[in-house]
Formats: sequence, structure tokens, C-alpha cells
Amino acid sequence: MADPDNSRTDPQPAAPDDQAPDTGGKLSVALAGNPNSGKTTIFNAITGARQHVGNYPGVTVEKKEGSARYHGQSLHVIDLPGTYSLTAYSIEEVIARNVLIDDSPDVVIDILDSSNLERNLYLATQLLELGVPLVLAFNMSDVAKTRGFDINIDYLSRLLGVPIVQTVGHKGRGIRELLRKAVHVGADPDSAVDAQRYPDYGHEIEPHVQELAGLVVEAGCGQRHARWFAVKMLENDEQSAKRLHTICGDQADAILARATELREHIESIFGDSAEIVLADRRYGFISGACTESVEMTVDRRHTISDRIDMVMTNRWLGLPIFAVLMYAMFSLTFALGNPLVDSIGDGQDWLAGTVSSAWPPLMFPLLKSLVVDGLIKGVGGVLVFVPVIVLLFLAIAFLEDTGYMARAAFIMDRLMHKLGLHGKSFIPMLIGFGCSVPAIMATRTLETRRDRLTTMMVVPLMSCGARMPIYAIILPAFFSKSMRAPMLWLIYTIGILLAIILAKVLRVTLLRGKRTPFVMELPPYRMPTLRGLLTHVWERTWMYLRKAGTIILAATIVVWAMSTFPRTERGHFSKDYDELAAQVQRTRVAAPIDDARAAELDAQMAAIDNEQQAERLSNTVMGRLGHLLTPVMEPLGFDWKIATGFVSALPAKEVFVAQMGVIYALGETSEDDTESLQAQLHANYTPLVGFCIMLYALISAPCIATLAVTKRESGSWRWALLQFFGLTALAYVVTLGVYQVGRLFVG
Amino acid sequence: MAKAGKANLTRATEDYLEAILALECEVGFARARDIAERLGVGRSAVSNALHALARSALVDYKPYRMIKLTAKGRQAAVGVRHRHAELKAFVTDVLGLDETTADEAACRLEHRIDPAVLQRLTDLGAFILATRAEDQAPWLDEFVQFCRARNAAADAATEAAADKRKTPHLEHQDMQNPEDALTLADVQPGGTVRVVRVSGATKTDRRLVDMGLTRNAIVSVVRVAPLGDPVEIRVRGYNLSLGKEQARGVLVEDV
Repeated sequence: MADPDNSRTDPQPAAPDDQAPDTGGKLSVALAGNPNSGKTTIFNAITGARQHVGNYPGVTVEKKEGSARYHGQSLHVIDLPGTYSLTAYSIEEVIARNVLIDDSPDVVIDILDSSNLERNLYLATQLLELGVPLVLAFNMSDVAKTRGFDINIDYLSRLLGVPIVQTVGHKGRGIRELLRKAVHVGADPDSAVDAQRYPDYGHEIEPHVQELAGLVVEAGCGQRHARWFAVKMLENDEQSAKRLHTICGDQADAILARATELREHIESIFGDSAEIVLADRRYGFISGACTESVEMTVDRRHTISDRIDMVMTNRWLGLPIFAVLMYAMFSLTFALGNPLVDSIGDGQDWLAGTVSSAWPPLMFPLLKSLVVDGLIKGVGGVLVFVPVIVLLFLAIAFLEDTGYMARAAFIMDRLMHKLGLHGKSFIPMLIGFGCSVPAIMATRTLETRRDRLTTMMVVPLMSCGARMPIYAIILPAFFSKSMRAPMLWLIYTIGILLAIILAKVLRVTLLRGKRTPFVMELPPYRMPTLRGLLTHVWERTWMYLRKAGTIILAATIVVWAMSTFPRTERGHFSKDYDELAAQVQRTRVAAPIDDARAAELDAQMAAIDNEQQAERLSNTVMGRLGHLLTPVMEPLGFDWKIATGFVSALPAKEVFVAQMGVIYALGETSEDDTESLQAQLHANYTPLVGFCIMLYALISAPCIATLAVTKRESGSWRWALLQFFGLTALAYVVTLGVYQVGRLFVG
Repeated sequence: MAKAGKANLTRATEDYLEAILALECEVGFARARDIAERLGVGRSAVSNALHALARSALVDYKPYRMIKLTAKGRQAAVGVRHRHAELKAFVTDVLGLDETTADEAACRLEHRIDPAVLQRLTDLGAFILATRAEDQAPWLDEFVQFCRARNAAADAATEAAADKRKTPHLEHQDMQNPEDALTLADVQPGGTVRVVRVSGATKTDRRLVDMGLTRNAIVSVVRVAPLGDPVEIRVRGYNLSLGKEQARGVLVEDV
């Protein structure tokens, strides 16, 4: 136990605020803290809008940085991943401690939830051990007060030898004081560290820690973190052992050998692993400090949060409430989002129409096509997801910030566990029925990479909204009214079943590993702040626009080029369409005619135009690709037209419908005018082929936007390509089986 | 530690010496790789330990060379080995337990027990076996019978006692862990228990300790999820949920 009388009461003499010490350029500040401690809120309060979100190199852990100014001193703030401890067992913890050791920030602010002090102090004890210059922010101090905690801040501060500031993050209270202390500690980190206390491990273990720390210092492997290394060696932390090796080479061997001996000694005395014994002691140290400085003034057995949970996670009500909430989130998002999506579509059409009519006729027709069919369509294709992303993420952020998301995982874990997934995988999979893009982005809430990747890979099998136009064309074309609903249900079910199978297969092959054990905090329910929600939503939307958007735009232009080149020059068509059109035109103007005749002639004109368009398409790379794929696609019952349709549908599944319209020389089919296409399909294909089209549309390569997001979220093209080819192969095999077997019965 | 000499060898050191001696007898030489395999530990751990042994002059060791016990090391190793064999014999022949149990028990005993007591114990074993051979004493078999009967009675008694107490939160005595029947998974909602120990075998167990489930921590079970799996507990003033599988690794006792 630390002796308060021996420590310096306040590591930094209170200098006047306006004379912030000059630390020579930017002061680097790292924010550490438990998840749910309000760390993000404090980060936002400190940095405002001056933020930058990226990834730590090589891993998909978010790296947030920002800057702030305090009395002329500019600060560079790094938001470390939220962690409960500093072991080597999770990427987040390894990253946090690597940043702390490698970048050695001038000051570390540990943000604690004051109403959950004991567990939050656990990380603080390790930061003290690490020997970083520390300031503690006792956040949510208002909540702690209402829950009856009376914390003697001055006393605790002396016990730990660390400045403590009480804050209320979402109200911005205490932030300036926090910065003031941080700047002072950062000005003279060495004396701050000297004043800090750390857990004493007792007469059995403490001498070992000191002996090892002594050895580390002797070998010259780092004065500052000597105690940390000593403790970590006793805990048999291999990462730290490796680090020690790189710092002091051969000398490390002897120190490590000694550490092994001491560790075994500890283990033989306590009959438990050294790691557990040390953790025990740390909590003992914390309990000691808390008994002396924290008093409970009210004895409230059930907080409001507990009462809410009596309903929300109730044995009988929990599931129905969850189902209702999910349904509400889903339907609200798409009910509010779809009109916006439609108006983006309308806006895109209007812009395209305006540009093409304003375009000087016969001037740069290729450029016009690029602008109208490539650029405008591409930008539209990017923007079309924005309303849904914004709304879904607003809903998710709300569920997350209130604390319900943890409950949802708690409720669903049993079920998802059976699929080899984590309880939290449920939400992304559900969103997948709306759109795979936000669904894949929602996998961020999953903690382990294995769970995230598995979920990302299977999400496209949840039949998304863009497949609906395809089903809407196929179902009425081939199936009687009473058969349509069951068929649609069948398609959705096949998707879900395949997702389950695929998840299981991935968990025993590429993403093999133990099921993620379920250990999760259920934080108290909180009212989210608008600012927190909006920041959340903005970050994700911006990320999507910046990273995925560029890929989607580029891909759309590539597909445009593929369905435009090579161009069939005039005179190279099989018929002279111009001449045919001219003939009709002449008939029309030659003599006065009635309306019916005029309409008939107009239809002829359109037919000629459409036929020409169809022939032009069949000559392009896209058309040729369709022809080239015919031998491969024939066993699935697909001819070159369907093959071309699917290739062109890569940017977005619903393009299939429009493209089939072009191929069947019906012009671009809009959703309101589908009967002629349905008639054509009905005339040319069997219901079995119709079903196979739906099946293939469901399973095959997800749209480019999904691939782009998968690439972005998984951090490598590898997984995006695997998703592309893997799902296409799966689609091929399944459709092949269904068609070939089906043919035996249907003939 | 090792420099203090034979009397004070750590358990690991003894294991290493034993392994090296066994290898020398069986194949004529010992290599780090074989030692690692035999003890089921990593190569780096072996090399660390060998450095330590070399420093204590128990083995001759240069990286990438054969490993040889020094005279001092051999003496220590033989001592360990002899003790092991004697203890094992005591457990099988006198206590009437099976070979595997005996092997494990001998391993644990030989490193922990006071040398004087150990000596007496092995002497007792030798004495009993010697007298038994002389007068064909049937009492040793009777002793084994007695032990079985007594333990069965004791088991029944504990069960009855548990029933009588009718502790509200004992769901069922899950006997897959015979040493300590009660784990966190057995506690019913509303029950409050004290943590005896977390098995510590897996990364998750250690995570649980980080989350505050340390020895003697008071834990109350709040509820079980609707589908029956994760349980919600309250520890150190906050709520934590964990899978039943993880809860099974936490040994608890009633408060």
C-alpha cells in the first residue's frame, strides 16, 4: 500500500494558467480508458471537430487522432483503443501498450467511469506500473454522485501520486482543468512519474519484482519501464520478452531465465499462475485504496438501469422486445430511407436527362455518354446508399450509446453461438436484408477479427433490397399468383441457410479457431447525446464516401466502358437502322395521319432504335463477354443474354433488369413498365430458368459497393476477392445442381 | 535459487534434470529439442532454463551442442529420480491407487514436500511392504476396501447435507469436477457466492480475473439470458455477462 505521507502532495505547483510551460512544439497526449468510460466523449470534447480517423497500420483497429490548443500550447491527442487491461491477449491492448511505449506520449490521460471505480482503476494500476506520466479523469462524476459514491479525490490522488480531475464529458465539465493538469504533467514528465505510486505485491512477490527491475536497469534496457518489464516477465508475457530481447539482446536471456525461476517459485507457493496471483494483488491494492477514499452515502440496491433490464432482458419479454426493436429499426430505416433513395434516383435521372438534352447534338457523343451513363450514374450509385447508411447508423449508434447493443448480444448469443458466431453478429446480418454495405460496416461492433471476417463473408447471402427488382420481374413472369410468395420466401430461406452453412465452413477452415468466449460488460443504460450520435454517423458516412465511394465510382466507369466499347460504327450494323428509321420518318411526315397511326409509327421508331441498341451492346466487350461465357453458363440454363445481364449487374444487382430490357430490345426497362419484358422472359425461358436466375442473383458475386466496403473493412483485397470468387463459385455450383436436377423433373 | 544447491532446487529445475537424465539413459545424449518435447514446453523456455542450469554448474551447455549433466547435476538428478520411483511405489502399492494417479501425485509430492517427511513416508512404504511380504498380512487389502467404503459413505453424507441445507441457488451438483462441485454456472439467479479460484488455464480465464473475478470477490448472479446461455453477474459494482462455458471455469463457494 502506498504511503500518502511520503508522496509529494501535488506533483505540479500550480502555475498561472496563462503561462503554460513551453514544451517545445506539440505536446502529445494519449487517452486511455475502459470501454464505456466515456472516453470518446472526452476525446470529442477536447478536440472538437479537429479529428482524423484512420487505422493502425496492418490491423483494422480504428486510430483516432485530433488536435487541441490550451493557452497557446498545441496538443496532439491520440485516442487509444478502449481496453480493460494491458495484457497481450487482444490486438487493442497490444496496440495501446505499444503506442504508450514506442511513441512515449508526453502525458497519458486515463479516463475512468467514477461510478465503476474498482474495475476502472485496474487499468490505471497498470499504467502506473508502466511508468507513463499519468493524469486520471474521473468521468461521469455526476452519475457517481447520484448513485451515492462519495469519492475523496484529494486523498485518492495522494495515495496514487497522480493528479485526478473530475469530469462530466458530455457536458464538457472539467475538461479545461483536465487539460491544465495534463499540460503541467507533460511539461515535466519525469518528476510526475517519480511521484507516482504503484501496487506493492507483498513480501513474497515484491522482492522478485524489484530484483528483476534491478536487472533490467543494470542491463540498461530502459529505466522508465523497468518495473513494467519485471511484472510482465513474471506474468510470462511473450510479447514483452521479445521486446526486451530487441532492446538488450543477449543480456535479456539471463534476465528471462531468472524471471522463469522466480515465476515458478511464485507459482509453487501460491499454486496458481503468476498472472492470476498478480492480478489478485492489483485488485487488492485497489480495494485498499477505495476503502480508504470512497464512501457509499446511499444504499441503492437497484439503480434505474437495473430496473430497465428487468424488462429488457427478462426471461420471457427479452426476446419479443428484441424482435420488436429490430423490426422497428429495420422498417423505420427503410421506410424513411427509401423515399430519399428514390429522390436521389430521380435527381440522377433528371440530371442525366437535362445534360443529354442540353448537350449540343452530334458533338462529342462519346463524352456525352461518359458523363451521362458513366459519371452521373456512378456518383448516383455512390450517393444512393447514403440515406440508408445515415439512418441505419443513427439507429445503431443509438442502440450502442444507450447500452442496448450489449443486451442484444446477451440475448442472441446462444443462437449465434450455434453458428460459430458471436451474439453481436446478429445485427449486421439483419441489416444485410436491407443492404450489405452498411451491414458490413456494422461488423465493427464485433471484437475479434475472426468473427468480423466470418460475418462479412456471409452477409451478402442475406437477400438485400437491390435483389428485389430482379425477383419482382421474375416471379410474375413465371409463377402464378399463389406461388409467388412461397417462392420469394424460399429464396430468402435459401440465403439464410447458405449463410449458416458458409459460416460454419469458414469457422473450420480459413477462420478456424476456438469460438469466441462470451465475456462482455453490460454497461448501465445511458441517454445518448445528440452530438455523440451525430459524430458517430458522420464518421461512418464520411468513411464510406471517401474510401468505398471512390472504388464504386471507378468501377462504374469501367463497366460503362465495357458496355460502350468497341463501338459499332455506322455501316457495320447487320441492318441499316438509319435507313429504316428514315423510312418510318418519311411515312410519318408524308401525309396527314390520325393519332392511332402516329402512335403506331412512333412505336416502330422506338423498336428500331431499341434493336440497334441491342445489337450495339452485343458487340461491346460486355456483350462479347456474355457470349464468351455462354458455354460456361449453359449448364445453368442461361444463354448469352442472361450472362450479359449478370456481368453488367456487377455495379448493382438491380441493373440486371435494365440490361435485360436493352438486350431484348425493349429499351431500358423501368420498374413501372415491366410487362413487355416479363412477356419476353416468359416466351423465352422455362420457370426453372427463372428460378435459377433468382438463385444466381441471390448467391453470386456481391455488388461492387459491397466488395469495396469489404476491402475497406477487412483491410485487404484478399477477403474482398475471396468473397467475390467464393460466392460466385458457390452460386455456380448451387444453380448448376438445381438446374440439372430440376430438369429431370420439369423436363 | 539453484545456486543454493541440491536442497533448494526449484520444481522446474528438478524436472529438467530428471528429463536430461532420462534422455541420457535412453538415447545417450540430450538435446534441447528432446527436452522440450518430453516436458511439453517451448524451445525458448528450455533454452532459458538451460542457461540457468549452466550457471548453477548443473549442466554443461553451449547453444547447439549436446547437453551433459555435470557431476553435481547428475547427483541431483539421480536423487530426484529415486525419490520419484519410491513415492510412486508408495501410492500404488500401499495406497492402492492406479498408476496414472500415482505418477502425477509423485510428481507433485516430490517437489513440494519437506525432505525429512518424504524420507519417512518412503520408509513407511518400504516397511509396510516388507512386513506384508513376511506375514502375508491381509490388512493392506482390507485397508484399501475400507478406504473405498468410507469414501462412498462420506460422499453420500455430503450430498445429504447439501440437500438438507437446501441452498436455494444450487441447481445441480455437477460432478464433472469432483474436487469442487460448485462453479459459477451452477448458481441460480439471485444467489450470491464468493470466488474460490478461476482455473486460469485459458486466456479467457485470465480475462475474467482482469475483469475483477479475483479470489474472494463477491459475485451475485443477476439473471440468465432468455435462451438460457450467457449469465449476467454483478461483481465489484458493475454488471458482466459471460457464457456458461466460461462460468464453469470459476469455482465458487457459498457465503
